[in-house]
Amino acid sequence: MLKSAFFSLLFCGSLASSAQTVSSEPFKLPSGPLNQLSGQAFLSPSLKAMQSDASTNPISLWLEQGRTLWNGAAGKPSCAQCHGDIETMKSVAPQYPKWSDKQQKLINMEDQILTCSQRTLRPLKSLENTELLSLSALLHSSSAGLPFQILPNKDSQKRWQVELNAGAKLFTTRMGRMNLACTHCHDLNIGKTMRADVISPGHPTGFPIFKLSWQSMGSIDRRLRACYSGVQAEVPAPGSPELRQLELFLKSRAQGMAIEGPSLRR
Amino acid sequence: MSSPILTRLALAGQVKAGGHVEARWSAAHPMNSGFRVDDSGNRIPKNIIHTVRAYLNDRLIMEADLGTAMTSPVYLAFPVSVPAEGGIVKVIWQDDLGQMGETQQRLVI
Repeated sequence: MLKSAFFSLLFCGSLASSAQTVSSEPFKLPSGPLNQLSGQAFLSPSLKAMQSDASTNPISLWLEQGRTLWNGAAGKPSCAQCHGDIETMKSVAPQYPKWSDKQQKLINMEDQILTCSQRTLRPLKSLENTELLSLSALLHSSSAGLPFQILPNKDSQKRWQVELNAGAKLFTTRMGRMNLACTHCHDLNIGKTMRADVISPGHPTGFPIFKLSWQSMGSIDRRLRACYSGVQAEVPAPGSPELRQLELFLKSRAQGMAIEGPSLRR
Repeated sequence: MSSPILTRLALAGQVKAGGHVEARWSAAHPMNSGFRVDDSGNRIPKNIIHTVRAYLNDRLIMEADLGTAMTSPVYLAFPVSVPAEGGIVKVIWQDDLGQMGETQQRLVI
């Protein structure tokens, strides 16, 4: 009835072209060395605009849910009852992945949230659970601007070093039918195009990410598995030790760079 | 109304009596078109948000019949003219499984 009278609907065949006026500016990398650029520098102008406007950025949905879970509804159990205000947690996300003496393995932020939720009345079931990702997004957004603090515990230094070395080895080991190692693209061919995308140095500063091709949020775990599939290697199961080792190596490789909080990717 | 689907409504622009703001509504709904298959090759049944209605002070201002070509998260933007007394913008959605949800935002002048 009122359908045609009073609105212009903007359908998002591609989210990037919505609401924001689509920029025709060509994508340009900043001049200077490319190996310290974060993924942010590889976004198109329209994606950057979408990222910076909370009302068009889809990550707002997850952040809002994260805040609701953190603070809880009136009288309901919440994360804040033990952990306090989210602002007091900003030094947490930069420390992961770290060695857990209790579990005798490397754990990342999402593993920690999953473990923590098992002690509550609302245990989460999987690593790519929406609620888990929204909490991870919230924690990472509170840490935005802080550098990674990837350090071993005092008494498990040796074990930690073993894990880091394993990650470095994975990074430089050829795998899959493409017979490529991470380093072949993300060290040696940064800034060149691969299919329709520009190769970044692969610094994990913007996780968890909202990837437009996934139409959803995803963790670094999922993104790394997508890399395995990209080079046509056998994809490890979610939460595999090798994914954590690789994450540990990538984050110590990005040492000194700032966490950017949950980010948009193509 | 509790629903596992995350929705969000934001009003962009200056809220001035007689002026316009842009309402931006999004929902992280899977929007399964009915053409996708799962890992074992079975069809995932169609489940999309088929109707979205927007109300300004309980008066219908926008109704959208959505099809399978919508992305997930669904994103709709539409202008709302601000009445002199301000008011509440409310968006209601419904999907093929019969799930419904409601989000509202106050227009504060």
